[in-house]
Amino acid sequence: MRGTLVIAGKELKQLFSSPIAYVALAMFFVIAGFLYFSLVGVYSVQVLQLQGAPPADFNPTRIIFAPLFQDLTFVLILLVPVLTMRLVSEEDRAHTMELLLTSPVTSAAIVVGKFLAILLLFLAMLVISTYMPLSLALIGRLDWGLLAASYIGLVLLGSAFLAIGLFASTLNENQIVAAAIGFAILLIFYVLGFAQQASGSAVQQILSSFSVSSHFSNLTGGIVDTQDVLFFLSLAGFFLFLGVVALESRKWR
Amino acid sequence: MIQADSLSRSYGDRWAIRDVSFQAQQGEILGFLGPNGAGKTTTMRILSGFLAPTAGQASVAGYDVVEKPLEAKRRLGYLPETIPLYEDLTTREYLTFVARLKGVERRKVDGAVDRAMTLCAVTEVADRLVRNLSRGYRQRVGLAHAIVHDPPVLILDEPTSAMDPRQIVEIRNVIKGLRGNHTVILSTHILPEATAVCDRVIILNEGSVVAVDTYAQLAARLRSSEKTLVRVARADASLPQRLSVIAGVLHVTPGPNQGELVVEAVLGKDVREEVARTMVGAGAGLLELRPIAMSLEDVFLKLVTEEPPANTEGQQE
Repeated sequence: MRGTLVIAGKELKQLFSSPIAYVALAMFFVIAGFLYFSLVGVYSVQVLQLQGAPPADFNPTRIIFAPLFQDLTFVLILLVPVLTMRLVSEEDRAHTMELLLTSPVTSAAIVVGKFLAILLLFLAMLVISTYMPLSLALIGRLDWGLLAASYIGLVLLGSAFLAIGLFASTLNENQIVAAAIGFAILLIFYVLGFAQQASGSAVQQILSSFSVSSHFSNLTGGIVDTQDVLFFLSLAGFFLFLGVVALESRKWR
Repeated sequence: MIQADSLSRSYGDRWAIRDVSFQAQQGEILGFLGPNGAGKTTTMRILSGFLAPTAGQASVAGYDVVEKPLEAKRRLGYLPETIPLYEDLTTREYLTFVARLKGVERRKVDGAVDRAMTLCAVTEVADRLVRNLSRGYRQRVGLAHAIVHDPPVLILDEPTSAMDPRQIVEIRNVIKGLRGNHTVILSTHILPEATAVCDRVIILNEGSVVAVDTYAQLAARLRSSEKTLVRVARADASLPQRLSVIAGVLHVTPGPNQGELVVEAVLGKDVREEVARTMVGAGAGLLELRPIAMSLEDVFLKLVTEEPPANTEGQQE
């Protein structure tokens, strides 16, 4: 545990002393801000068209934030590999992995420490992003339950994505290659959702159970189902485990 | 303190080391010598737990490096060939991180870091970013990182390779100062370094141990004759003839400089007294008379070019 925290602390210090964290945060907020701005625009147009007689299920949370968070999934597919690409490959390039692997810490502590650091950065990003619902809450009424479910969904989805990116980083000492591998794996999980619509019912069920987007849309719809929560947690756990295996296997190669 | 039993390691179907066995006692400095590709780094990486052996066993401070890796690593300081430095941390931040990683208690970390920085003379660059340090400083920060947690066992892979002569002497003194409390394995390309610092040397060639002994004994064992250098003021052509008739002298050859002769005699026979008498008798003006010892270079070259691998020697140690 001590080793995990020591590594996480070092990782955070390095994240903020390199431009990557700042570039990634800026990229995220520019895109999220633009999406938010245009969705608020769409909502205002609809309000004008309805002329004060809205239907029962017409609320800003569903019209603005559900699509916003769906779109952010795709932004994260691009952003997460950039955040995670250097985690292990940079240690390989600088030969510092030799220091970590010859220190009295387990491979699991190394992987989990790095994961914790990048997860903290991601959580900070989510905390800052709450300016969007909070600013809207000043002038209207929001469905807080729905928002909470969506944020739980983002945390779970983000954890799984970061674990996948971290695993990709253990595979190659070139950061660009690591990012490309991470991007490819994330994209596969994303497009499984498209493929299910074009296949038979049995295949459809299997594909849908592995599709990130179908599990995430339940959460942004306000339903916190154990099945979806477990899906993201197992995805994160599985790829962290693969990361540990990748580090351990190096001793024998 | 360090024990290796028939360590072997293959990369694919190529063997990097085969049946390497040796021991290092508490407080000893053991030198690893060998040409490039002899298996020095592979052996050190196995001892440090970075690589697993394909066959054989190794232990550090009594803990098997495969079965009890964390216990072994806790007692080990390892300086790899390529120094593992975080360029974006300062020297102090880097050493603090390493101390915490190696298990130094939080309240003792500052003291440990200061001690390591003082020993390796890097205190003046404590707050500089590692990326801005010169090669000599980087090497010394590397040594500091290996000793920051005061481990009983140290494995140093070419610790002085990028230093200037003055720094080399300083670092050698640091390493010599560790003798007694620490067991040190030191690999080096600089052969005089091994004679200056190490109690014993292991010579590796093509993945096998060819010799384990003190330098003096290796040199004695490999000597095939006694050589004596004679320097005179007035050399003339008759001197070699006069010397070669002394009992026990095998042959007399011209020495490296003007007025010098090398007298080679059978092993175990000291001919210096007789040589001196002859030179004085000939009126050649004897200036110097000294035995020529075998240098470590000679020993090394003789072993890696002539002797077949002899693993059994390592096991006898």
